[in-house]
Amino acid sequence: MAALVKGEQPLIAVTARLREATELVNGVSVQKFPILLTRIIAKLHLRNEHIFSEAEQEQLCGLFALSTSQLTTVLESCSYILEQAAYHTIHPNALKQLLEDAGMDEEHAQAVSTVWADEATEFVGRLKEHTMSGPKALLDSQYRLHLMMGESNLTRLKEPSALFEFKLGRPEAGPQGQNTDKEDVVVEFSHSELYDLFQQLEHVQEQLDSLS
Amino acid sequence: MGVMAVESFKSVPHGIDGDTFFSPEIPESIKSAVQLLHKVEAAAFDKLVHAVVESFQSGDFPSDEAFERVQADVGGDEGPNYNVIFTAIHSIIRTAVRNRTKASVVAADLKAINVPPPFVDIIIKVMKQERFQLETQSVVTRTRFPRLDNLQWRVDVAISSSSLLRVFRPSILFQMSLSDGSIKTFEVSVEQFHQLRYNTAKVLRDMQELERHPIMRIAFEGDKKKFDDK
Repeated sequence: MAALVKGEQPLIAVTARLREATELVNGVSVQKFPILLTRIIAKLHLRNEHIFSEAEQEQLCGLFALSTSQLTTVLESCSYILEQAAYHTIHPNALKQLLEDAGMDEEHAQAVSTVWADEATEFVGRLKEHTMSGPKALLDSQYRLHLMMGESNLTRLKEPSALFEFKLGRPEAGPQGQNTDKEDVVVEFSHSELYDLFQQLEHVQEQLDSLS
Repeated sequence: MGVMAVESFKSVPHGIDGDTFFSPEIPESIKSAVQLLHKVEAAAFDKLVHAVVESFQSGDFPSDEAFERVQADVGGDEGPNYNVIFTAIHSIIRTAVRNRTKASVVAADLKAINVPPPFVDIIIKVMKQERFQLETQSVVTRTRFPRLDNLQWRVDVAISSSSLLRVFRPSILFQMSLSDGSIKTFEVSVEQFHQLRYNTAKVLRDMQELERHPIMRIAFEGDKKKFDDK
Protein backbone atom coordinates (compact mmCIF):
# COMPACT_ATOMS: atom_id res chain seq x y z
CA MET A 1 0.00 0.00 0.00
CA ALA A 2 1.61 3.22 -1.11
CA ALA A 3 1.59 6.26 1.14
CA LEU A 4 -0.70 9.04 0.10
CA VAL A 5 2.11 11.47 -0.12
CA LYS A 6 5.70 11.02 -1.12
CA GLY A 7 7.61 13.73 0.60
CA GLU A 8 5.52 16.84 0.02
CA GLN A 9 3.82 15.80 -3.22
CA PRO A 10 0.67 13.70 -3.44
CA LEU A 11 0.98 10.76 -5.80
CA ILE A 12 -1.47 12.33 -8.16
CA ALA A 13 -0.55 15.98 -8.53
CA VAL A 14 -3.60 18.14 -8.11
CA THR A 15 -3.24 20.60 -10.92
CA ALA A 16 -5.76 23.19 -12.00
CA ARG A 17 -6.55 21.01 -14.97
CA LEU A 18 -7.30 18.10 -12.72
CA ARG A 19 -9.63 20.22 -10.60
CA GLU A 20 -11.40 21.34 -13.73
CA ALA A 21 -11.79 17.74 -14.76
CA THR A 22 -13.13 16.61 -11.39
CA GLU A 23 -15.75 19.36 -11.51
CA LEU A 24 -16.83 18.18 -14.91
CA VAL A 25 -16.89 14.61 -13.71
CA ASN A 26 -19.12 15.59 -10.85
CA GLY A 27 -21.67 16.68 -13.40
CA VAL A 28 -21.56 13.37 -15.25
CA SER A 29 -24.25 10.81 -14.53
CA VAL A 30 -23.05 8.31 -11.92
CA GLN A 31 -24.66 5.34 -13.67
CA LYS A 32 -22.81 5.90 -16.92
CA PHE A 33 -19.50 6.96 -15.43
CA PRO A 34 -18.23 3.47 -14.47
CA ILE A 35 -18.88 2.18 -17.97
CA LEU A 36 -16.73 4.95 -19.34
CA LEU A 37 -13.98 4.08 -16.91
CA THR A 38 -14.03 0.38 -17.70
CA ARG A 39 -13.78 1.14 -21.36
CA ILE A 40 -10.82 3.44 -20.77
CA ILE A 41 -8.94 1.01 -18.59
CA ALA A 42 -9.45 -1.81 -21.06
CA LYS A 43 -7.43 -0.03 -23.72
CA LEU A 44 -5.12 2.14 -21.69
CA HIS A 45 -2.15 -0.22 -22.02
CA LEU A 46 -1.96 0.31 -25.78
CA ARG A 47 0.40 3.12 -26.50
CA ASN A 48 -0.40 3.93 -30.08
CA GLU A 49 -4.14 3.68 -30.15
CA HIS A 50 -6.89 6.14 -29.36
CA ILE A 51 -9.34 4.74 -26.88
CA PHE A 52 -12.39 6.22 -28.55
CA SER A 53 -12.88 6.83 -32.23
CA GLU A 54 -14.08 10.20 -33.51
CA ALA A 55 -17.62 8.93 -33.90
CA GLU A 56 -17.62 7.50 -30.43
CA GLN A 57 -16.32 10.74 -29.00
CA GLU A 58 -19.21 12.63 -30.57
CA GLN A 59 -21.62 10.14 -29.09
CA LEU A 60 -20.07 10.63 -25.67
CA CYS A 61 -20.39 14.38 -25.98
CA GLY A 62 -24.09 13.98 -26.52
CA LEU A 63 -24.44 11.35 -23.82
CA PHE A 64 -22.74 13.38 -21.10
CA ALA A 65 -23.80 16.80 -22.31
CA LEU A 66 -20.23 17.97 -22.63
CA SER A 67 -18.51 20.00 -25.27
CA THR A 68 -15.68 18.39 -27.22
CA SER A 69 -12.96 20.12 -25.28
CA GLN A 70 -14.63 19.30 -21.98
CA LEU A 71 -14.88 15.67 -23.00
CA THR A 72 -11.21 15.63 -23.89
CA THR A 73 -10.33 17.03 -20.47
CA VAL A 74 -12.43 14.39 -18.73
CA LEU A 75 -11.03 11.50 -20.76
CA GLU A 76 -7.43 12.60 -20.42
CA SER A 77 -7.74 13.18 -16.69
CA CYS A 78 -9.36 9.81 -16.14
CA SER A 79 -6.57 8.19 -18.13
CA TYR A 80 -3.98 10.07 -16.12
CA ILE A 81 -5.56 9.09 -12.81
CA LEU A 82 -5.64 5.42 -13.77
CA GLU A 83 -2.08 5.45 -15.12
CA GLN A 84 -0.75 6.98 -11.95
CA ALA A 85 -2.77 4.57 -9.84
CA ALA A 86 -1.11 1.72 -11.71
CA TYR A 87 2.36 3.26 -11.59
CA HIS A 88 2.31 3.59 -7.82
CA THR A 89 -0.05 0.66 -7.24
CA ILE A 90 -2.38 2.81 -5.19
CA HIS A 91 -4.91 1.03 -3.05
CA PRO A 92 -8.57 1.70 -4.05
CA ASN A 93 -9.41 3.37 -0.74
CA ALA A 94 -6.37 5.57 -0.94
CA LEU A 95 -7.32 6.44 -4.49
CA LYS A 96 -10.81 7.43 -3.40
CA GLN A 97 -9.33 9.69 -0.74
CA LEU A 98 -6.98 11.31 -3.25
CA LEU A 99 -9.79 12.02 -5.66
CA GLU A 100 -11.98 13.53 -2.98
CA ASP A 101 -9.07 15.75 -2.02
CA ALA A 102 -8.83 16.80 -5.60
CA GLY A 103 -12.43 17.95 -5.61
CA MET A 104 -14.37 14.94 -6.84
CA ASP A 105 -17.59 14.27 -5.01
CA GLU A 106 -18.01 11.09 -2.97
CA GLU A 107 -20.18 9.16 -5.42
CA HIS A 108 -17.86 9.62 -8.37
CA ALA A 109 -14.74 8.96 -6.35
CA GLN A 110 -16.36 5.75 -5.16
CA ALA A 111 -17.17 4.81 -8.74
CA VAL A 112 -13.52 5.25 -9.74
CA SER A 113 -12.37 3.34 -6.71
CA THR A 114 -14.71 0.43 -7.46
CA VAL A 115 -13.65 0.17 -11.09
CA TRP A 116 -10.04 0.35 -9.98
CA ALA A 117 -10.53 -2.40 -7.42
CA ASP A 118 -12.04 -4.65 -10.08
CA GLU A 119 -9.65 -4.01 -12.91
CA ALA A 120 -6.35 -3.16 -11.27
CA THR A 121 -4.69 -6.58 -11.33
CA GLU A 122 -5.44 -7.20 -14.95
CA PHE A 123 -4.44 -3.72 -15.98
CA VAL A 124 -1.11 -3.94 -14.20
CA GLY A 125 -0.59 -7.38 -15.75
CA ARG A 126 -1.18 -5.98 -19.22
CA LEU A 127 1.25 -3.15 -18.58
CA LYS A 128 3.87 -5.64 -17.46
CA GLU A 129 3.38 -7.65 -20.63
CA HIS A 130 3.88 -4.57 -22.74
CA THR A 131 7.18 -3.62 -21.22
CA MET A 132 9.41 -2.23 -23.90
CA SER A 133 11.57 -4.87 -25.48
CA GLY A 134 13.99 -5.46 -28.32
CA PRO A 135 13.13 -5.03 -32.00
CA LYS A 136 11.42 -8.40 -32.36
CA ALA A 137 9.77 -10.87 -30.08
CA LEU A 138 8.94 -14.52 -30.50
CA LEU A 139 5.23 -14.68 -31.19
CA ASP A 140 4.89 -18.38 -31.88
CA SER A 141 6.92 -21.49 -32.49
CA GLN A 142 5.90 -24.59 -34.39
CA TYR A 143 7.67 -27.76 -35.39
CA ARG A 144 7.59 -30.59 -37.90
CA LEU A 145 9.30 -33.92 -37.54
CA HIS A 146 10.64 -35.40 -40.79
CA LEU A 147 12.12 -38.72 -41.61
CA MET A 148 14.45 -38.27 -44.54
CA MET A 149 14.29 -41.39 -46.62
CA GLY A 150 16.32 -40.32 -49.59
CA GLU A 151 17.81 -37.50 -51.54
CA SER A 152 19.27 -37.05 -55.00
CA ASN A 153 22.68 -38.37 -54.07
CA LEU A 154 21.78 -41.02 -51.57
CA THR A 155 18.77 -43.29 -51.31
CA ARG A 156 17.59 -45.57 -48.53
CA LEU A 157 18.27 -43.24 -45.71
CA LYS A 158 16.53 -43.08 -42.41
CA GLU A 159 17.48 -39.83 -40.86
CA PRO A 160 15.04 -37.98 -38.66
CA SER A 161 15.15 -34.23 -38.83
CA ALA A 162 13.07 -31.56 -37.16
CA LEU A 163 11.99 -28.26 -38.65
CA PHE A 164 11.18 -25.41 -36.34
CA GLU A 165 9.34 -22.34 -37.48
CA PHE A 166 9.67 -19.20 -35.39
CA LYS A 167 7.26 -16.35 -35.95
CA LEU A 168 8.94 -13.09 -35.03
CA GLY A 169 7.31 -9.71 -34.88
CA ARG A 170 6.57 -6.66 -32.82
CA PRO A 171 4.57 -7.68 -29.78
CA GLU A 172 2.53 -4.48 -29.28
CA ALA A 173 0.16 -4.78 -32.16
CA GLY A 174 -0.75 -8.27 -31.02
CA PRO A 175 -1.30 -11.30 -33.23
CA GLN A 176 -4.48 -9.90 -34.71
CA GLY A 177 -3.31 -6.33 -35.19
CA GLN A 178 -1.55 -4.86 -38.17
CA ASN A 179 1.85 -6.44 -37.96
CA THR A 180 3.87 -5.51 -40.99
CA ASP A 181 7.13 -6.47 -39.39
CA LYS A 182 6.52 -10.20 -39.18
CA GLU A 183 9.23 -12.64 -40.03
CA ASP A 184 9.15 -16.41 -40.28
CA VAL A 185 12.40 -18.14 -39.50
CA VAL A 186 12.73 -21.80 -40.40
CA VAL A 187 15.55 -23.76 -38.82
CA GLU A 188 16.39 -27.40 -39.36
CA PHE A 189 17.82 -29.71 -36.73
CA SER A 190 19.26 -33.18 -36.82
CA HIS A 191 18.97 -35.37 -33.76
CA SER A 192 22.25 -34.28 -32.24
CA GLU A 193 21.71 -30.62 -33.06
CA LEU A 194 18.32 -30.76 -31.41
CA TYR A 195 19.85 -32.31 -28.35
CA ASP A 196 22.36 -29.46 -28.14
CA LEU A 197 19.52 -26.96 -28.34
CA PHE A 198 17.73 -28.79 -25.59
CA GLN A 199 20.81 -28.59 -23.35
CA GLN A 200 21.02 -24.87 -23.88
CA LEU A 201 17.35 -24.40 -23.10
CA GLU A 202 17.90 -26.36 -19.90
CA HIS A 203 20.64 -23.91 -18.89
CA VAL A 204 18.27 -21.02 -19.51
CA GLN A 205 15.67 -22.75 -17.38
CA GLU A 206 18.19 -23.12 -14.56
CA GLN A 207 18.74 -19.38 -14.64
CA LEU A 208 15.02 -18.70 -14.58
CA ASP A 209 14.61 -21.04 -11.65
CA SER A 210 17.38 -19.32 -9.71
CA LEU A 211 15.55 -16.01 -10.10
CA SER A 212 12.56 -17.13 -8.13
CA MET B 1 28.45 -67.01 -86.49
CA GLY B 2 31.47 -67.72 -84.38
CA VAL B 3 32.50 -64.08 -84.47
CA MET B 4 29.05 -62.98 -83.37
CA ALA B 5 29.12 -65.42 -80.46
CA VAL B 6 32.44 -64.00 -79.33
CA GLU B 7 31.17 -60.46 -79.76
CA SER B 8 28.15 -61.08 -77.57
CA PHE B 9 30.46 -61.80 -74.67
CA LYS B 10 31.93 -58.40 -74.99
CA SER B 11 28.83 -56.22 -74.89
CA VAL B 12 25.99 -55.63 -72.51
CA PRO B 13 23.18 -58.14 -73.04
CA HIS B 14 19.80 -56.75 -74.00
CA GLY B 15 16.94 -56.56 -71.58
CA ILE B 16 19.07 -56.95 -68.51
CA ASP B 17 18.74 -53.28 -67.55
CA GLY B 18 15.98 -53.64 -65.01
CA ASP B 19 17.70 -56.45 -63.16
CA THR B 20 20.89 -54.65 -62.38
CA PHE B 21 21.48 -52.01 -59.78
CA PHE B 22 21.38 -49.49 -62.62
CA SER B 23 17.64 -49.89 -63.02
CA PRO B 24 15.64 -48.64 -64.75
CA GLU B 25 18.24 -48.19 -67.44
CA ILE B 26 21.94 -48.77 -67.89
CA PRO B 27 23.51 -45.51 -69.06
CA GLU B 28 24.77 -45.42 -72.65
CA SER B 29 28.29 -44.60 -71.58
CA ILE B 30 28.50 -47.84 -69.66
CA LYS B 31 27.16 -49.85 -72.56
CA SER B 32 29.77 -48.38 -74.88
CA ALA B 33 32.48 -48.71 -72.29
CA VAL B 34 31.87 -52.41 -71.78
CA GLN B 35 32.73 -53.13 -75.39
CA LEU B 36 35.88 -51.05 -75.14
CA LEU B 37 36.99 -52.62 -71.90
CA HIS B 38 37.76 -55.89 -73.61
CA LYS B 39 40.39 -54.10 -75.66
CA VAL B 40 41.98 -52.19 -72.82
CA GLU B 41 44.92 -53.45 -70.82
CA ALA B 42 44.83 -53.88 -67.07
CA ALA B 43 47.53 -51.27 -66.50
CA ALA B 44 45.62 -48.66 -68.46
CA PHE B 45 42.44 -49.50 -66.64
CA ASP B 46 44.23 -49.17 -63.34
CA LYS B 47 45.42 -45.67 -64.16
CA LEU B 48 41.93 -44.61 -65.20
CA VAL B 49 40.54 -45.96 -61.98
CA HIS B 50 43.08 -43.90 -60.07
CA ALA B 51 41.95 -40.83 -61.95
CA VAL B 52 38.38 -41.60 -60.95
CA VAL B 53 39.40 -41.97 -57.31
CA GLU B 54 41.16 -38.63 -57.43
CA SER B 55 38.10 -36.97 -58.86
CA PHE B 56 35.95 -38.40 -56.08
CA GLN B 57 38.35 -37.14 -53.48
CA SER B 58 38.57 -33.69 -54.92
CA GLY B 59 34.82 -33.68 -55.37
CA ASP B 60 35.03 -32.56 -58.94
CA PHE B 61 35.78 -33.84 -62.42
CA PRO B 62 39.32 -33.46 -63.74
CA SER B 63 40.02 -30.56 -66.03
CA ASP B 64 40.78 -31.14 -69.71
CA GLU B 65 44.54 -30.80 -69.29
CA ALA B 66 44.59 -33.11 -66.30
CA PHE B 67 42.72 -35.72 -68.26
CA GLU B 68 44.97 -35.37 -71.28
CA ARG B 69 47.90 -36.04 -69.00
CA VAL B 70 46.21 -39.19 -67.82
CA GLN B 71 45.61 -40.24 -71.41
CA ALA B 72 49.24 -39.59 -72.30
CA ASP B 73 50.30 -41.46 -69.20
CA VAL B 74 48.24 -44.48 -70.12
CA GLY B 75 49.38 -44.51 -73.72
CA GLY B 76 48.06 -47.07 -76.10
CA ASP B 77 45.84 -46.68 -79.17
CA GLU B 78 42.55 -46.32 -77.46
CA GLY B 79 43.34 -42.74 -76.40
CA PRO B 80 40.15 -40.97 -77.46
CA ASN B 81 37.97 -43.64 -75.88
CA TYR B 82 39.47 -43.32 -72.43
CA ASN B 83 37.02 -40.60 -71.51
CA VAL B 84 34.14 -42.99 -72.19
CA ILE B 85 35.72 -45.52 -69.89
CA PHE B 86 36.39 -42.87 -67.29
CA THR B 87 32.76 -41.77 -67.38
CA ALA B 88 31.63 -45.35 -67.13
CA ILE B 89 33.75 -46.13 -64.09
CA HIS B 90 32.61 -42.91 -62.46
CA SER B 91 28.94 -43.71 -63.10
CA ILE B 92 29.25 -47.26 -61.90
CA ILE B 93 30.72 -46.28 -58.58
CA ARG B 94 28.39 -43.27 -58.12
CA THR B 95 25.25 -45.28 -58.84
CA ALA B 96 26.33 -48.12 -56.62
CA VAL B 97 26.98 -45.77 -53.71
CA ARG B 98 23.79 -43.82 -54.28
CA ASN B 99 21.61 -46.89 -54.30
CA ARG B 100 23.60 -48.35 -51.46
CA THR B 101 23.94 -51.67 -53.18
CA LYS B 102 25.79 -54.50 -51.56
CA ALA B 103 29.25 -55.18 -52.90
CA SER B 104 28.30 -58.73 -53.86
CA VAL B 105 25.32 -57.49 -55.86
CA VAL B 106 27.52 -54.96 -57.67
CA ALA B 107 30.02 -57.68 -58.54
CA ALA B 108 27.34 -60.02 -59.82
CA ASP B 109 25.66 -57.31 -61.88
CA LEU B 110 28.90 -56.10 -63.42
CA LYS B 111 29.75 -59.65 -64.46
CA ALA B 112 26.24 -60.01 -65.86
CA ILE B 113 26.76 -57.01 -68.10
CA ASN B 114 30.01 -58.52 -69.30
CA VAL B 115 32.62 -56.39 -67.68
CA PRO B 116 35.84 -58.40 -67.65
CA PRO B 117 36.17 -60.12 -64.23
CA PRO B 118 39.59 -58.70 -63.24
CA PHE B 119 38.23 -55.21 -63.83
CA VAL B 120 35.19 -56.02 -61.72
CA ASP B 121 37.46 -56.81 -58.79
CA ILE B 122 39.32 -53.53 -59.16
CA ILE B 123 36.07 -51.60 -59.29
CA ILE B 124 34.72 -53.33 -56.20
CA LYS B 125 37.87 -52.63 -54.26
CA VAL B 126 37.77 -48.94 -55.15
CA MET B 127 34.07 -48.73 -54.38
CA LYS B 128 34.55 -50.11 -50.89
CA GLN B 129 37.30 -47.65 -50.23
CA GLU B 130 35.44 -44.63 -51.54
CA ARG B 131 31.95 -45.41 -50.31
CA PHE B 132 32.20 -43.74 -46.93
CA GLN B 133 33.69 -40.58 -48.31
CA LEU B 134 31.07 -40.24 -51.02
CA GLU B 135 28.29 -40.70 -48.56
CA THR B 136 29.72 -38.08 -46.22
CA GLN B 137 30.09 -35.73 -49.14
CA SER B 138 26.45 -36.05 -50.04
CA VAL B 139 25.45 -35.40 -46.44
CA VAL B 140 27.42 -32.17 -46.50
CA THR B 141 26.06 -30.94 -49.81
CA ARG B 142 22.44 -31.91 -49.46
CA THR B 143 19.63 -29.39 -49.64
CA ARG B 144 18.72 -28.18 -46.21
CA PHE B 145 17.03 -25.39 -44.42
CA PRO B 146 19.42 -23.19 -42.50
CA ARG B 147 20.85 -24.76 -39.39
CA LEU B 148 21.49 -23.18 -36.07
CA ASP B 149 25.20 -22.46 -35.87
CA ASN B 150 25.19 -20.68 -32.56
CA LEU B 151 22.69 -19.65 -29.93
CA GLN B 152 23.50 -16.85 -27.53
CA TRP B 153 21.05 -16.03 -24.79
CA ARG B 154 20.58 -13.92 -21.73
CA VAL B 155 17.99 -13.62 -19.03
CA ASP B 156 16.84 -10.11 -18.14
CA VAL B 157 14.59 -8.83 -15.42
CA ALA B 158 12.71 -5.61 -16.07
CA ILE B 159 12.72 -3.76 -12.80
CA SER B 160 10.85 -0.61 -13.62
CA SER B 161 9.28 1.05 -16.62
CA SER B 162 7.65 4.32 -17.53
CA SER B 163 4.26 2.73 -16.92
CA LEU B 164 4.98 0.87 -13.72
CA LEU B 165 7.23 1.56 -10.79
CA ARG B 166 7.70 -2.11 -9.94
CA VAL B 167 7.70 -4.52 -12.83
CA PHE B 168 10.05 -7.42 -11.95
CA ARG B 169 9.25 -9.40 -15.02
CA PRO B 170 11.89 -11.78 -16.36
CA SER B 171 12.41 -12.10 -20.07
CA ILE B 172 14.90 -13.89 -22.29
CA LEU B 173 16.84 -12.55 -25.23
CA PHE B 174 18.00 -15.00 -27.92
CA GLN B 175 20.47 -14.40 -30.68
CA MET B 176 20.51 -17.16 -33.26
CA SER B 177 23.26 -17.30 -35.85
CA LEU B 178 22.06 -19.42 -38.75
CA SER B 179 24.16 -21.30 -41.27
CA ASP B 180 22.98 -19.06 -44.10
CA GLY B 181 24.74 -16.17 -42.38
CA SER B 182 21.74 -14.37 -40.94
CA ILE B 183 21.56 -13.40 -37.30
CA LYS B 184 18.17 -13.26 -35.62
CA THR B 185 17.84 -11.39 -32.36
CA PHE B 186 14.57 -11.58 -30.55
CA GLU B 187 13.02 -11.51 -27.15
CA VAL B 188 11.18 -14.45 -25.71
CA SER B 189 8.63 -14.14 -22.92
CA VAL B 190 8.70 -16.75 -20.20
CA GLU B 191 5.50 -18.37 -21.51
CA GLN B 192 6.86 -18.61 -25.04
CA PHE B 193 10.09 -20.03 -23.68
CA HIS B 194 8.22 -22.76 -21.86
CA GLN B 195 6.34 -23.62 -25.00
CA LEU B 196 9.59 -23.79 -26.96
CA ARG B 197 11.23 -25.96 -24.36
CA TYR B 198 8.24 -28.26 -24.28
CA ASN B 199 8.19 -28.55 -28.06
CA THR B 200 11.90 -29.32 -28.18
CA ALA B 201 11.56 -32.04 -25.59
CA LYS B 202 8.57 -33.48 -27.38
CA VAL B 203 10.32 -33.64 -30.75
CA LEU B 204 13.38 -35.22 -29.15
CA ARG B 205 11.26 -37.89 -27.58
CA ASP B 206 9.44 -38.51 -30.86
CA MET B 207 12.77 -38.82 -32.65
CA GLN B 208 14.01 -41.35 -30.14
CA GLU B 209 10.85 -43.40 -30.44
CA LEU B 210 11.09 -43.26 -34.21
CA GLU B 211 14.62 -44.53 -34.16
CA ARG B 212 13.63 -47.39 -31.93
CA HIS B 213 10.64 -48.33 -34.07
CA PRO B 214 10.84 -51.85 -35.54
CA ILE B 215 10.45 -50.62 -39.09
CA MET B 216 13.66 -48.66 -38.72
CA ARG B 217 15.54 -51.75 -37.88
CA ILE B 218 15.48 -52.96 -41.48
CA ALA B 219 19.21 -52.93 -41.65
CA PHE B 220 20.84 -52.58 -45.00
CA GLU B 221 24.30 -53.92 -45.69
CA GLY B 222 27.21 -53.59 -43.40
CA ASP B 223 27.03 -49.86 -43.89
CA LYS B 224 24.71 -49.55 -40.96
CA LYS B 225 27.57 -49.92 -38.54
CA LYS B 226 29.12 -46.79 -39.96
CA PHE B 227 26.19 -44.73 -38.87
CA ASP B 228 25.77 -46.23 -35.44
CA ASP B 229 28.52 -44.21 -33.83
CA LYS B 230 26.83 -40.81 -33.82
